[in-house]
Amino acid sequence: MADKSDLRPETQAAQALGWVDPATGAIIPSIHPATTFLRDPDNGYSRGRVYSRPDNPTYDQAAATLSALEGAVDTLLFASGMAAATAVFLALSPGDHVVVPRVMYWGFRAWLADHATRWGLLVDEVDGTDTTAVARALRPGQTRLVWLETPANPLWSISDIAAVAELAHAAGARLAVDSTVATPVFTRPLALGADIVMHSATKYLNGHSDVVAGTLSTAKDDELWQRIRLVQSRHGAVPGPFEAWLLQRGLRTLFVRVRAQAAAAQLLAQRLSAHPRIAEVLYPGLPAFPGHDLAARQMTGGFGGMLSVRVKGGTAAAIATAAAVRVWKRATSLGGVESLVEHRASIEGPSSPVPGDLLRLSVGLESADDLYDDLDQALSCSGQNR
Amino acid sequence: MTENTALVYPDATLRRILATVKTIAMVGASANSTRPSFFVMKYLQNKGYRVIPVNPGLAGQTLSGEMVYASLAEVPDPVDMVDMFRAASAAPAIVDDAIAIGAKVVWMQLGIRHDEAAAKAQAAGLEVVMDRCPKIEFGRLCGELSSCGVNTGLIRNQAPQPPAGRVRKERPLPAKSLDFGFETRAIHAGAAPDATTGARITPIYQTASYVFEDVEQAASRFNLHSFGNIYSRLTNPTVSVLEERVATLEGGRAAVAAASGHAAQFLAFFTLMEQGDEFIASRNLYGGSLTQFGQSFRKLGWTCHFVDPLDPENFRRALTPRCKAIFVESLANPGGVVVDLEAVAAIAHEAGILFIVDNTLATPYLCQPFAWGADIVVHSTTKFLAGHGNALGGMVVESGRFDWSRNDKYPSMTQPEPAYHGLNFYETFGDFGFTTKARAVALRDFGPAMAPMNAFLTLTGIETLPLRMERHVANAAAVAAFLEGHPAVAWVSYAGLPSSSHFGLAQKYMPKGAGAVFTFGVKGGYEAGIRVVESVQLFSHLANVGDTRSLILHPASTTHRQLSDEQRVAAGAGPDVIRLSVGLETVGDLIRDLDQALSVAG
Repeated sequence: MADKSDLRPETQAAQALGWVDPATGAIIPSIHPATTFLRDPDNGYSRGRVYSRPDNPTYDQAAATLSALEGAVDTLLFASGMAAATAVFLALSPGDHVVVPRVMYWGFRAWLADHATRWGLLVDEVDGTDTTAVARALRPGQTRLVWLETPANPLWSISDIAAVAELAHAAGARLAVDSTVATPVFTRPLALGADIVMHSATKYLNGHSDVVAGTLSTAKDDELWQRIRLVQSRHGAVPGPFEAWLLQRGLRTLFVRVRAQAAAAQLLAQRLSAHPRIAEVLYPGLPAFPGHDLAARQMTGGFGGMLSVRVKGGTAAAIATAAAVRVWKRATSLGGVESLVEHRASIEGPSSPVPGDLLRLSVGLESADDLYDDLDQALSCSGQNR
Repeated sequence: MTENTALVYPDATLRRILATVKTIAMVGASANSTRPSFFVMKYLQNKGYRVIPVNPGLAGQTLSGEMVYASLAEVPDPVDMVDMFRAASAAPAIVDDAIAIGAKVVWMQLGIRHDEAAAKAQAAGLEVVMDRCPKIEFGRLCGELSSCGVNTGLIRNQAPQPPAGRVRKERPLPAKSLDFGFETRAIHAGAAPDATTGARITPIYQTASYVFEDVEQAASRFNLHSFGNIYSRLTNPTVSVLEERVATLEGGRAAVAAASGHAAQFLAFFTLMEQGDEFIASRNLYGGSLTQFGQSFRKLGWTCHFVDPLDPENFRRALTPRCKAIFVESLANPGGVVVDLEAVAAIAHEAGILFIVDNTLATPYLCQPFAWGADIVVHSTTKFLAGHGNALGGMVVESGRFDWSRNDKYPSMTQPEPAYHGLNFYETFGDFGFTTKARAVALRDFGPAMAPMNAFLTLTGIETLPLRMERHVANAAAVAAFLEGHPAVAWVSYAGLPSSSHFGLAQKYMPKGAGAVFTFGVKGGYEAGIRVVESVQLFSHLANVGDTRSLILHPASTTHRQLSDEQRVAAGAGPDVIRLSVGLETVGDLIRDLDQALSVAG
């Protein structure tokens, strides 16, 4: 891959680092369905590729582009965000202590509480927005990993990456950050001191709701990273070549998509704050939001495309609002070009920290006016029905 | 002077010659950039050969940076090979000169052969290659020519390497040209491990365009001076693999892919026909072809005369001075009609015109139209070639054996092409001139290119073509025999049944089986036919054939709906007709399903 490090990230993304196929001159990478690669007559593998699980050439452009955007030395692709996130913990050993936030993607939180604990990891849940709480939970010499998610799904609370990185490193631990919602457009966790950055690439990185994939990018190619590589290859949770190809295709438009989504989210957050049927809007871009000052320091150029609203009238009113939308789609996931609304509490179950009156909004690329008008009519429906 | 035996040069021989010669004297080099010799000189120079032009008319001038000499004797430097761009009658004198100056190889260009002069050169210890172009052979051996869809005759388990220049590690080639079986070619032909990554499976080149190394390379590709990719409307590496694969399975010289079977027919006829031209087609064709030929082609100024193909003499009777081709389906859709290919080919060739065969329903596994005299084969690859009902595509395959210059009927092939600065396609590209013209003009200007993903799916389908066709015909024969004995069935038109009037022709032209698409008549006519297609539970009621799934259709109410009653009956799509495409399911299940549907209908 040519060195394009002098170019701005928008350029690197749009051209997927300017890669050109050496054999044909094709300016778009090929999809390699091959599962296996030719061995030399002398039994070697001079091209360095053996088997598709770790070696598929279609992975290269998506991985290298993301490395450039995150300022990472290496990136691995996984079959899903969960496969990427769990690989970090599976690279640790039973008995290791880890610190994780209470508010985070609930599916991964459930995995940590169940599988990780049964496997022998000592998992401590803390308030991820409270740096002193993280400091108290750290056990120097025994804590191997601190996990943060910022903004954290679905309350969008903000954690201080730089401060936690310093604390974690002082205790001999690594810091991994789920940056799915921030994307490298708004936050570069490795530059702030994190060791590993994780994405559910299903979301903004791909951006079109047509790929399930995950990524890990690392600041250092160290022993932990080598163990993560082995987890990826041996557990085998790798994406198909077509998914990897779609991912590099989606990455090319990351900056225009995510900036437009964040601008629309900011506008919606402001207008919904004044809506009579909304009790509270959770969005880091609102000055009244508790983590706003930190977000303004840590995030550059925007606060992301995700917000949540708390509907007056409680759970029933929130569910009735979601039922009445016409433009927004009721569906899980986030980060796609189409706007999604979801009642999270009924998904996450009783152990969830998410209130029942909360609706999670993933803002797409539609007209922000259409999105507001649709929510407005849905909110008034929910009011009438009660 | 020339014999009719084909000249065969093992790849190892051509590769060794091209790898060892360094200096080539080109007798008949031209300064005209539309002449083949100009193309070849530029190409060979680009590949690192020194090319010394010899031409008395240009002596003393400089051509592509080299001084032109009046004769071989005047060339001051040692010459390894003499490349002859002169008529065959000039060969004896040129061979004498080549011997005198100590050349090691005499190479006579495409279309040039002189066996006596060759024997003399060989007696003097020189190697001789005749009726070949060193540019085309170099491009073929190094893999470049694959971008033209040409059947290179190579089966590769290593990435292609050029015969000269930077060669990794030469692996010895067999001393004789090998013939590979149909099954081997169905899996390997056209494909090679990826040169960059070693990937064993053909990549899906999902790219629109290709980077040029420099302006000169770009210009040479646009001018067709060199082989290579420009833009995926013209060529795409994944599509090229499929083109070569189908070309070799048909025993043809080259092929060009299209977005659909109809698009392939358009490419073939556009390349062939001028306004006011005519052609003759069998009236037993796929209904869409009847409409394309009879109605849409009329708007382009082309007239199609339809004839009953059962008597080949009907084609002769329909000939007119402006007829440019005869078109038939080897195994006709919707069912059971086998055309006497050899007889119709003879009629076409006596008239000096092309014989075009749509081999879609038979596939090259069951029928080889080129062996019976076809000049062009067209396919809807959507059907049995892709085989899974998941990818549209078409293909035009050229036999490479039609002599376009024997009459003046085909100016598009033999006259200068204004869109390429006066290039003459037959003269320049020889036996793959037709597919090159179809690509460079019809595909370029009308754009029905096959998508790379569809080419990939079709390639994967073709890998199992022999296995699938074996089972397709076995199931079809069993279903046809069952229907023939069913009381609700009036008749069965399957050329594989001994009772069929086409059985004899089917035994001759498709001895491995008469395909898997055929028709039968249900007692009770139109209404009963509709009840059958609405009562089946395993067969799918849809307008396609050649799927792994069994398909059923009532042509009179669907594919042949646009035709008049008379045309429908003539095309074998009368009111009581039901068409089956027998798939790969358990044959007992298929028979049970038809049995219950027929009992409902009856």
